[in-house]
Amino acid sequence: MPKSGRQPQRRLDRARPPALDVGMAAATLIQEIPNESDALIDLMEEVRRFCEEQELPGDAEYAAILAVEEIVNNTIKYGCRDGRRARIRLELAVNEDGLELVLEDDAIPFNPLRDAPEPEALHGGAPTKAGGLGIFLVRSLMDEAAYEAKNGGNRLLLRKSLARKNT
Amino acid sequence: MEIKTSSEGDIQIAAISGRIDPQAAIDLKKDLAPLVGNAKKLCINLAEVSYIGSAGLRELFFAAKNLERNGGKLVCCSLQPEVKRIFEIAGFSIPYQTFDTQDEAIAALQG
Repeated sequence: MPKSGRQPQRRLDRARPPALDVGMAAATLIQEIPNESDALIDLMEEVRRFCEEQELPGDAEYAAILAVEEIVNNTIKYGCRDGRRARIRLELAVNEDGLELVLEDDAIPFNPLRDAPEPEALHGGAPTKAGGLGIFLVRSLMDEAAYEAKNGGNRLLLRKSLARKNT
Repeated sequence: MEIKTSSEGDIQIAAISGRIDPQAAIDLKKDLAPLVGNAKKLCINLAEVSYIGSAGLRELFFAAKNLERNGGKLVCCSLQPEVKRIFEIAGFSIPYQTFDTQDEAIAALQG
């Protein structure tokens, strides 16, 4: 169903230098969305399509989509709880060796790598609050994560190495 | 995302298909509510689910907890490899049992 005015602008830029500095041709997906749940669903679909175009292994595609769900969902739910209108920017770069996601926003500063609660589900008890599981999954699926507060907002870098079938 | 329900004896079976993103997780909560309210034994077949994130996992978790509170039990079966990995990382394989096949899941609920 078309959502006029909400579709994120999609840009494929194959001329960019490789983000992971491995000297291979890279492809990059750049998207910017408002802090709206519908826009997140569209963004996840764009990431899925991009990963399939790049023929990424299933685990890498899953990790990229899940990272976008968890991080952006948290930004929408908690990072804008003061009613602000935020912009969320994704840059996803892939090449032969790995993928790199950079998520930037102008939401309330929050370092999920340091301050997200530990997920209760891991302990087998009844969860009393929802937080923590998403960022825990992201960290588990990614090989590298780094956060910095930037321009009054947030910048999160995530990297995952690729194990291609034929390498 | 779609859910097809069926039953085998006193066991309700919910076969989910599609991708469980945050939007689908809201639908999942609504769709599971009557099953959790009426059934004691619920088998969730995830054979046709290629993606689930924490929003969807939480709905399954809460459904399982609600069933357990009423003396019931929820099990999941037929997980695709990537979904299975997420379940393992999330710790779902500890409090809620997962099975490779629906037959094994049904047998466990009957036992």
